[in-house]
Amino acid sequence: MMRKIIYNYRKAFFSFILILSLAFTGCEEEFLDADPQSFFTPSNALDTPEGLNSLLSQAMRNLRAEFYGDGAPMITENIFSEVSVEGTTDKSGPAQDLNLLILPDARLNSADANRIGWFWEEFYKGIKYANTVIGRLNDATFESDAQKNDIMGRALFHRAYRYYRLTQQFGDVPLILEEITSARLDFVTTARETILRKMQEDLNMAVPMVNAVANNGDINKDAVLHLLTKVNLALGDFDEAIASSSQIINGGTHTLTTDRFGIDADNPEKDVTWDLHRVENKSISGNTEGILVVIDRLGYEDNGDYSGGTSIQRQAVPLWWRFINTPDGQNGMSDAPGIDIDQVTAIGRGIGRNRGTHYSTKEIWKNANNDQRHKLGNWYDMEDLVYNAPSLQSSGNSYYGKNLELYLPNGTPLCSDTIRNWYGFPHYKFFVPDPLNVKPSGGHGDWYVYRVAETYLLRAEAYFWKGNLGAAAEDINVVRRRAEADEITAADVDIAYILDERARELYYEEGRKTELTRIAYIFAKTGKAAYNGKTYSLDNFSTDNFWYDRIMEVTDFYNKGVKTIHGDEYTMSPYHVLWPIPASAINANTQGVINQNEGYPGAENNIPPLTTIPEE
Amino acid sequence: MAGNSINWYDRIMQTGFRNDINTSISGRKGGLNYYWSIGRTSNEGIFDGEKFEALRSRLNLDAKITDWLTVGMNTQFAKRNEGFIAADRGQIERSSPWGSEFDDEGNIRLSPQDDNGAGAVNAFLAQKFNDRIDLDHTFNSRVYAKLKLPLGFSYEIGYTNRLEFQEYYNHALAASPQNVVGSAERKVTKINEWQLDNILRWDKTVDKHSFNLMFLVYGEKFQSYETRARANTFEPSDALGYSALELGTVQIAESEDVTSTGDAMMTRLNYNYDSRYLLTMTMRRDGYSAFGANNKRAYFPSIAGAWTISNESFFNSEFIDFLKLRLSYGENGNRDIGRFTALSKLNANKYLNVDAGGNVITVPTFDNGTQENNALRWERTKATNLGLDFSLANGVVEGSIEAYQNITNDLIVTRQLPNIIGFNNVTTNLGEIENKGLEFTLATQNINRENFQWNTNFNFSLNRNKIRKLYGDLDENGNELDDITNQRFIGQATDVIWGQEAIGIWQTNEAAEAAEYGVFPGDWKIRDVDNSGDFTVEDNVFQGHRSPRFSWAMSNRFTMLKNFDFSFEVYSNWGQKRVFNEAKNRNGFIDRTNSIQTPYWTPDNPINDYARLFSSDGSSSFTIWRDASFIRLSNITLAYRFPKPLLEKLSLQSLRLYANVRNVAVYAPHWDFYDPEPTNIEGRILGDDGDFDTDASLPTPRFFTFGIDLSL
Repeated sequence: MMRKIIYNYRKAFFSFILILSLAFTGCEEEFLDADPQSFFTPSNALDTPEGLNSLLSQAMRNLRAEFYGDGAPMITENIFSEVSVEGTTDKSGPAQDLNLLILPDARLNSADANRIGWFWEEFYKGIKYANTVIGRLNDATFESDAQKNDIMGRALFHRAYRYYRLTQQFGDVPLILEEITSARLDFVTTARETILRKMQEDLNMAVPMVNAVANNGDINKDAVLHLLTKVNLALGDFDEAIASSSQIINGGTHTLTTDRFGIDADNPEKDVTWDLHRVENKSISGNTEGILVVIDRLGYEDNGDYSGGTSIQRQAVPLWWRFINTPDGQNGMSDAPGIDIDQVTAIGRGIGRNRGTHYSTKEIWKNANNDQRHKLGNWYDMEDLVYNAPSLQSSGNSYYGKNLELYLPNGTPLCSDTIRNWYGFPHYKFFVPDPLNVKPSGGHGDWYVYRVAETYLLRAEAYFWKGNLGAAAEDINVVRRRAEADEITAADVDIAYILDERARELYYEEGRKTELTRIAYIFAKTGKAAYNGKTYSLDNFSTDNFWYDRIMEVTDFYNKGVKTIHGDEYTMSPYHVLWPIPASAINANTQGVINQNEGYPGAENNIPPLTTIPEE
Repeated sequence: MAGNSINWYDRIMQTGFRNDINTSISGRKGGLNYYWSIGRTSNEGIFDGEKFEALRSRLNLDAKITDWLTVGMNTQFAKRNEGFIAADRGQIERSSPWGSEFDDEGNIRLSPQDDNGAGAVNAFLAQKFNDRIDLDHTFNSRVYAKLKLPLGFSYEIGYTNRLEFQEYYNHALAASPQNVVGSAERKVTKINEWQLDNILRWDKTVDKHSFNLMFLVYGEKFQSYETRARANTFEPSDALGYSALELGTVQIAESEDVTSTGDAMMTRLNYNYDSRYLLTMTMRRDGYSAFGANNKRAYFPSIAGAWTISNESFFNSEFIDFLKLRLSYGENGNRDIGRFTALSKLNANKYLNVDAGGNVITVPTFDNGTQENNALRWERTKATNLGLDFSLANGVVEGSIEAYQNITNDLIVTRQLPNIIGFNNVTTNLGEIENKGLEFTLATQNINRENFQWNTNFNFSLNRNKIRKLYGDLDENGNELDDITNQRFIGQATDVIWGQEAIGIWQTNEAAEAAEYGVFPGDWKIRDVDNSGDFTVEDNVFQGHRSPRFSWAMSNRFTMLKNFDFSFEVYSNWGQKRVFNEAKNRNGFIDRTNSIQTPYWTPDNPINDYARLFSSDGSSSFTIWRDASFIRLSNITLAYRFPKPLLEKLSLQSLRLYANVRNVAVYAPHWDFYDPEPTNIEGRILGDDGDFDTDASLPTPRFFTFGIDLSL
């Protein structure tokens, strides 16, 4: 039967074989061109304004990541300054014993260690996005010159933003100004000042190119001017810094927000400082202050959000829910949600990774008076919390609901780890609603990168360096008046005061290590005597600098013999003013020399850095 | 808690029952050969809830239509069900015996000891609060036709089609204490792959010369289409799970389609003279779409010769029955790369903006995450092989000895780049690696009597590899530079271990010295090679190899009283090292979770191979390596074959009963943890992340099997 069928269809059968054979041999070359279907490649997607804008939006995503997630990179900026230390005290590895742990070969990009390597890798990725846009600009056809200029200007901003940070974090670094499309291994280091000069030039070019008004979450002209002000200061060009910051302050596009606004505007218990830092308020029209805001919202999972959100309460709120006893020796605290005194929902389940120092939580608030930034409700000290454990309630313990106490009358502490579990914090900044976690970690919300208050403090600093203390005091007072803090006079102004005011206003916003190092460089470059009586020089920057002296002066952790309960001691050295260049970059660069910073192993192989930019 | 403790090992581990039933029929009628089989497997694993089910069936038809035409079809159908969720085995270690699975109201607890933050989570949450379908259907078919043509030519064409449907539906219930909202997903992947081969053969024998010429033209195409839809935060509730994704307030749709193509042409000539001299010459050209635009195709020649010495007229040995010498040289290619590795991929994602009206808008992002490499080409191995096959004393001893040298050029590797480029690595071809080795197999009939036979098979192998060239970067003396970043060293093996070396534990009387390195007695002592007081790449040393230095296997089979078979197998891997950071004694949070107790240093227990609890690495970054050499008694089988006369009465062709135990025992003198072999003995397990699981804490099950083989 079958045989018969096949016999009948023999002709068809042979034709089938023939067609298959021909079909195969016929499509020779094209047959192996299996193009990607589900992703774009540079050759088919970067030759349009939309493609280039997508790279710049990626650069914004990359910039945003510094302020979000577990072990957010910004914490490393804080702990390499006076404002915070690493508070994860139950293990070795977190950056506490800096002399021991901060090495080129060490773990440099981990929530359990530090994020030095994150800054290195991710900032160079940001530079790559910018360089790709700059290099491919002429491949695209634009609707207008204005559109082209705006794209170019924002790319220049992104590149300068990274190089400004890298040069304060690492000093001299390799300068890459083009998209690298091959396996290049012959990079060399360029001097910090040379890089900053180039960035100053680029930003001056970008100012007229970038649109004055942009969507929140993207770059506008004032953001360029704000960054330019920092670069001007870093180069010691104080007049230029005054000019660029004045352009923002006088421009009127962004102004200090002084009136109540936003979601809690009608709540008489709150104030403008509270309003300013509500994540719901950072990108609304009543907010005139945000110059550069990064956006993260609930409900945009895998669709533009930062996965997991800020996590800021987990990072920066103390671990208040354990190891704290009542004066009669009972376990006092509970992080259970939904109990009668539900403190975890109110302030979040902190783990005290970013532990504010005595300096940033006590010292700078000594004469706070009416300062909104330290007002109860905006700010919490541990003594403002109460014993809330349900076991106290059920046993009828009299301390239930009473405020915490740290010591018995005889001086016995009631908290077994005062590093991690006992310090004050600015609730008005850290309160980010987190409906996805029953024990809140700090959820999704926008974050300030640049705002006008800092513009005033930068101009105040520029006036200070120029010796115009009256103008400096007035700029500082603009910020202080808004917070209802007492005004200061010209006589109060020195760099210490400016740093204090920055800590009060910009805690967990500014890159503190970056800014403190920038100031240390200015002292070294200008030779101007610091308030501590010392003068500094660039010649021995890694052994004697203002950054180190300032931290030693005002903080009570590093090199003071303080040890964690795990036994790790807080140490620091002057050379930590510049972070180690990750060894992976040096080792992979086999055909060139990327310099290591002094004080770290490998610096003996350094060659003099480039002080000019080679012509391509 | 008086006496109430939970043995989590007992709660989580189980004795898994496995059953496997296979039935087949085959036969021939006229010119039609047929074969049909069906099999069902239902295997439980050693962890609670772990299970795997499969159903397979195969039908082969081969019809000889005429003297010159044969057609046929082989079809296979398989259904695999992996929608079972095992208990979290990590909780054997982490969950506290003093904790509890349920709270006072009888609800399941998130964490037995109320500390999920430290990783102590109820082991049964995933299986209790997930509703899952994970099915895989495959249909494989091959249709072929064979034609006999005049003058010794024959032609065969075959078309193979593989169709696979993978379905994954999962609903993570909001009711789980682990979840704040319910989430569900549906993922469907269709894979379609075809291969077409045309083979023309010519066979010719002239006197003692016999020729066989073959010409192949081949093409293949792979296409997969994946659709993934996810949703979470369901309203009014998540009761309908993945069956009503539209009820989720957050909706995510994803898709990924992939295509690749390959082709090949080959010519092969076999020449045989008088069954004494054999010569094979092959030339093939392979093409694969994933390589760089200019290098998709490559040519691979090979040549092999053999001389059957025992067929020579001068060879006249009573003792040696068969002796054959083989020599071959061949080049072959490796195309084991991702389908789009050579391209620069713009990873598309989203970022958020807020417009002047306060509206959130998503904006697209492109991350140029990989570098393009248009030069990416086939990896090529030049293999030289010398072999000797022999059979002695009427087959009482048979075996072969084989020596080989493989030189691989243009290795496909991921090369680390200076990360300042913004790309961490690029897939590229590099250098030259030499593999050489020796393999030896021997089969002996030790005893061959009517009521007792004993056969032994033994094989031994060793392989050595060495990097001979890398990228060609030279130092000032003209010597080639090592690639430290990727741990590739000229003259060293690819699996060499290189790093800071743990040489013991700092003891109490060495406290001062330890302090210079920022550590304490009880911490690991690291070799400071350059005595610099700190640890850098200068302190790295070679510390042995990851893969076995040599391996052997032996099986013995005894047949007693004609119908009893007894056999056992032993194998060994020797000389390899494995990571054993458990010796740092800081796995998890010792103060918050349970953990496996390994020996630990104390001032009163000044051991030298395990650190104190929660030891510090100081400024060093090191890995503890332990010798994982082992000998395993891998299999014991006892079988009984029913005698013929009995079978005839029962109208059976054969009946065999057997019992077997696998993984009977293992001897590992230096390894004191879970199994020394980082794999399941059934083969490697694909982990959730898509990588093969080499978890040191993965126990190897012991299998007991009882079986019946029956032929009608």
